[in-house]
Amino acid sequence: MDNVYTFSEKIYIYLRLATASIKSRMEYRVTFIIFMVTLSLFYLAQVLTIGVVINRFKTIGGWSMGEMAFLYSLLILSQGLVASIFSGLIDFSTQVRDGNYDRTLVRPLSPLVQVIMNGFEISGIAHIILGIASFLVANSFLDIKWGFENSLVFLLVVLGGSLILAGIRIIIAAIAFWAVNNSSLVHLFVYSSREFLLYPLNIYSGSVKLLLTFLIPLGFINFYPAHYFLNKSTNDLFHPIFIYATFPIGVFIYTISLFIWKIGQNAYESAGG
Amino acid sequence: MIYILETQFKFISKAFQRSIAYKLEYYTGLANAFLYIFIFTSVWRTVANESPNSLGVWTGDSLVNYAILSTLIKVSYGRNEYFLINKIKSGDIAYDILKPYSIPLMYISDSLGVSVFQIFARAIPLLIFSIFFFGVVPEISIITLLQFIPVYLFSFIIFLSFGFLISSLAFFFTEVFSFMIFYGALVTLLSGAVIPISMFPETYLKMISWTPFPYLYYYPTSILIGVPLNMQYEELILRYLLQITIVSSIAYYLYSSGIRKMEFAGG
Repeated sequence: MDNVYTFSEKIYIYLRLATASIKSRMEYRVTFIIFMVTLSLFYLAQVLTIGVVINRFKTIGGWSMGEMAFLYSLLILSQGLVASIFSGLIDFSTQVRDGNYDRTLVRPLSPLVQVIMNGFEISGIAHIILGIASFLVANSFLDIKWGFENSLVFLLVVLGGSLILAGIRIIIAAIAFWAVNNSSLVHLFVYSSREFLLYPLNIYSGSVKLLLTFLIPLGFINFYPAHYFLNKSTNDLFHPIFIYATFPIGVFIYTISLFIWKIGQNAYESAGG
Repeated sequence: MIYILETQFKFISKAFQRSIAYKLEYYTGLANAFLYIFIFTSVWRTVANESPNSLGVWTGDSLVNYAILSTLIKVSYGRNEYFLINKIKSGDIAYDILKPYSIPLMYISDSLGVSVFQIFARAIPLLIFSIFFFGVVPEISIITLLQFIPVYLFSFIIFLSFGFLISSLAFFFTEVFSFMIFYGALVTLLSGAVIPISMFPETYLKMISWTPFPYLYYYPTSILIGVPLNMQYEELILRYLLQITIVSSIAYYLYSSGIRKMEFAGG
């Protein structure tokens, strides 16, 4: 059944699904604009909160204002990409509970890509705008030379970070195949755990550093790669090579997540009658 | 009167039982609160060690205590905005206004039920856990406790009023999630839930103290810790009463205007 459509036809259909999702999101234009503005304000409040602490104490864990802004920009840019593309996975458990997921299974297209494209979220742009703004602020404080090599590494880091976040979203969504309701896990692993990354990992205890490096490798989204761009000492890291590991780790986590999704899908029994 | 109290008690009990029903929700909620406490205690310990001269009236321990207690106060308040929002969106409120009880009272009772659950099932276990995990025990005298209780109750009333205000916006807008985000932004920055507002530069401090937000978490936590408030306790209480009057009046005005303008589609 997978071969009903050619590859280009599939891409066309997926893009149509994403376009339909964007259109439905923007149907109430004023509501959408208010949402974008308030979302930006929320993130701005978060940045200002860190700014107030930095303004008073000058550094947090040895990281200055510019370095903290750079750390934040790496996080929010990766998050922006993921919030745009993978938002459909956030309330995936509702589709499982309502039995709506069954509809994606009878179409000759990938169920996962359908879930993702049906939930394409244009408001991720707010993250990206904020990410670019904090990147510019960071650069005004720092002296990073942006040649071809650095720019390429930066793109790979943002892409790798996005793959890590996307992989986590897929794994948490896949849990809904067994648990049916995963909303609190989504809150904990997708939203709250990200709060760790607003600050440099070196302020946390050893066990949390281990957790965020090896078990839920969120540290690779911004903390480790920031060492590369900021020429910070790697002596306190578990291994200096970690500053280059974001993209491979991202690919690894994403691959694992697809595998878990596949297992979950095979175990899936429709909730409907 | 007894009938009203009985009805409200049933609403409280129903909300409490509803909160108990979701076990996974409960444990992840605890983990979530602990995560925030952990992050902020780590931040404060770090900056207190790095820049002891910038602490001002604070010490490393008082900042750690602040992070723990402000989170516990926040956790103890049960959020239930969707209680009213869902009724407005679905049109179920049409049945409720026909019933012989007040919807605002029903909202308050539901919030109380969730909050009682939050205090016993989340705030107290988290406090015990924090004492063992972080090893910092705030010394709270009877006088401090007596000063704290009214302030805590007043801040809860402001919290309730804000929730009711946001819920009532559902009468006027198809989607109120944006307003919740906006409220979240103001709480993050100005309420003292994340950072004590005394960390702000002096010029902003006065302005912030006239908004209702620091009355949610900053002042109750500061009283518990014994940090100077820059005002007499009596003045603080008067300010609380002023903020309660303003926020609850706006909330009630929005609610009553919403009820008046409400129209139902369908037959």
